[in-house]
Amino acid sequence: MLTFDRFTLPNGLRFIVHHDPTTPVLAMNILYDVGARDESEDQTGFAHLFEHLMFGGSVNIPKYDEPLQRAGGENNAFTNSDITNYYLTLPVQNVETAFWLESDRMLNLAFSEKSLEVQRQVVVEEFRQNYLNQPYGDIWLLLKPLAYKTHPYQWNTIGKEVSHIEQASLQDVRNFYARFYNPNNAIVTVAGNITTPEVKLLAGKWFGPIPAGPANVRKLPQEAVQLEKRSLVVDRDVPYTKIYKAWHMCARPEEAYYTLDLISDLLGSGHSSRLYAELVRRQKLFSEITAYVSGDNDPGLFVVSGKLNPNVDPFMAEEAINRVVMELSTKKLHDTELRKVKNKVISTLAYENISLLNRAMNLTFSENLGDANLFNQLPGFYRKVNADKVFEQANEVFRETNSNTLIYRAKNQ
Amino acid sequence: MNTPDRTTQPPLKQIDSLSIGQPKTIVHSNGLTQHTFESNNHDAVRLDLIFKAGTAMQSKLLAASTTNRMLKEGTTKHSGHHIASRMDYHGAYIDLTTTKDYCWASLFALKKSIPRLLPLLAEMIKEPAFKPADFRILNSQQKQDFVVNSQKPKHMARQLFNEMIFGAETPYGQSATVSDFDKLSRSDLAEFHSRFYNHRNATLILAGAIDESVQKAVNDHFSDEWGSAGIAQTVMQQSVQATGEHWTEKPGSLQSAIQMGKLAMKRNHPDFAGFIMLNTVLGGYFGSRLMSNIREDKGYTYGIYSQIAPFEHDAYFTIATEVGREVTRAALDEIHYEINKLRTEAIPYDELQLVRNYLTGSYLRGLDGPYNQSEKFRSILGIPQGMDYFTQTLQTIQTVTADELLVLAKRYLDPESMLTIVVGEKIS
Repeated sequence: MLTFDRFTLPNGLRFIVHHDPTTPVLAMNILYDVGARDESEDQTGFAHLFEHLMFGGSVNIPKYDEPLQRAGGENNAFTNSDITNYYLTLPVQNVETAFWLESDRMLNLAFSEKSLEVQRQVVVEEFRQNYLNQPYGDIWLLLKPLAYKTHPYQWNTIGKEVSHIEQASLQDVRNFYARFYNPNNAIVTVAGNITTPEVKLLAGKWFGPIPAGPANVRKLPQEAVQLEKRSLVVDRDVPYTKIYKAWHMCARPEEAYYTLDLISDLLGSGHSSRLYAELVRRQKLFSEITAYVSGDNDPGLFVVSGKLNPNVDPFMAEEAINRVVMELSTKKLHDTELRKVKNKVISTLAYENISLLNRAMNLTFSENLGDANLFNQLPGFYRKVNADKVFEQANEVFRETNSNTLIYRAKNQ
Repeated sequence: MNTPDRTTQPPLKQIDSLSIGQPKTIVHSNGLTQHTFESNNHDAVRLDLIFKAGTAMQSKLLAASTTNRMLKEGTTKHSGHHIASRMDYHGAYIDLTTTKDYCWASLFALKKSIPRLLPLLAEMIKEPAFKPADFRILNSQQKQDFVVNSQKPKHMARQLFNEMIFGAETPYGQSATVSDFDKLSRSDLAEFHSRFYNHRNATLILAGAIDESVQKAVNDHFSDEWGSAGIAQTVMQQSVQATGEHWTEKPGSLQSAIQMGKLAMKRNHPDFAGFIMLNTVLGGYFGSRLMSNIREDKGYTYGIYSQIAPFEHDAYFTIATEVGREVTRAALDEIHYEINKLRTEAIPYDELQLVRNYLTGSYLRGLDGPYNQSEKFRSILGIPQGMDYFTQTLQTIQTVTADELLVLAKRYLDPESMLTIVVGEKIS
């Protein structure tokens, strides 16, 4: 059970305080409610590029990292389809440096041509390093547009193509900042040996004077129900064939999410899972296979992905996946198996909470989904899942007409 | 409300000296040493059982890591599926790791599950079955991973670097090729296991919620004598380092992977702590000179880092990055420029102070809580000072002068003495 306090500044900035007197480290996590889904389709990759620019200097502080490192701190950030998240840790006695740094870049960025030019190049190298210049790197660049036809989830956080990043202008950057980087579009969590009154004082001093921006109303085109099975086969210069099969499922904030998350564990998390036992150990069709849910804020994907052993026909392998998955829609689950995945998920939550930074992040993410206390309720939500719900969701999700299969075939096989 | 002064950084406070406690050490009746980092604030237990059984000890390539990974795949009494199901049922994890010098099993579990899980862990360690069918699956998985990695420029560079920094024929420099997977047999694993997996060759580290019930379970399952062989013999590592620039062509590669470096001093060397400072300034953190120059000023790369890799019998220093194909030469020139600058100009006071503070904060984070402490302790196993090693290192970090660092840079960072590996497409 994570204890916390909450307050909101007059400009709309929400604060969460988690008190932990046992650690000399303080964690600050700031979430801006903007992700790749908020981009327009001809300017993809922008939210992530923008994350890089947030380190290029703010109105009063030429370099973000230097003063933080001088205070003994460290930071990083990530962007996904839904959010952009910044986090730092530093010795608690230097907490004010964290407020100074983060409030200044929320107040105003420096917007330098040089910083934009360099970070465009850095992101292009990131694109090459992670997506283009390594085996299997472009799988998600293929799978997302296969599964989504209207929703912005059809492109990846890194962007559809390198040219979108290369074309970003300083005016685009200014507009993006003005629209999304406002106190009323952010959540700050402070965790460590610090009290709520102390945080209130610092929050008011540093973040209080930042003016609120226009309310950010999100109107995203939603994905229509998929009515036909989709398949894509590509041939690539890789040593082994991979299969990805993705079904549409509910959004993260819905109750059925917990059922599907558990289904993904019992099908394909670890070596005791059904897919591993059947297709790796027994039938020896795959060398590895996993299942997971994307966990997006809007309706997401349930994914099974596996690497085939040499000389296995990929279409037969897909049939084999189907048979294991479909068993859940025809046969009721045994209690022991359900208890196993529940125990695992609940203990994983407990292990995650050992890290102060994880606690700060989880409280922030939960608040962004509607209520920081959601995180404390997670074990209860998972416990409520039963065999009937599993049966129901399996029937709802695992329909062939709802599926998207990518066969990423090794050229020389 | 007071208006904040946004133009200057709020005053910094000196970080209190770190209080790093030594673990409680006991010796079991069989001679097995146990180090414990106890905490009342947690429900979980971390247990590491470490053997001196790294890749440097194997007489056949791949034997050490495969033996270690096979521990999960079945015992004489229980199948791999049973082990995995039981661990999952108790919400527990087992990680298996092999390095050049050691291998270990780490169990992470809730305190209440420990008495139920330790019998199974003991069985995995003492009586692995190495069944041919399970071995074939694991071996082919590892072979496939190897083949995929062999296509990644970074991995190719790393492997070549390792071979050429230590010498391909030495215990540390040996590296497998794809055909070695076909030469490995289950009897190699059984042999490796019988030589190295015994109580005389092991160390136990516990962290977290260690109470009487946990200690009793440990005593019940690990204080007996098992395995027949004695303590592992010392590895004879006599490194033969190559120098110069070595290109491996990878046609069509959009980026070049660069790895350069040289042999370095081991942890117990008097210059080691100073060298940590030098490494940090050069490429050991996000604000480093290499990162500032090659990423943040030139945009040649997504990231560039340097590090010191200390082992029991030798060590190396290395810089690694992946850069755009067209700027490979320019990036190499900039790396040389930064190394030479470190050898010719004293580090400015301001930068030195920043790095001191950064490193102190980084030790503070790295040593926060019992699980982190136990992990740090494992990384210095064999260093006689124990956790005092970190206090002493921090003292040097706080006091070493710019002039002393200049001397170290001249002594240890001559680019002429370094090995450079580049994997990518050479453009003229």
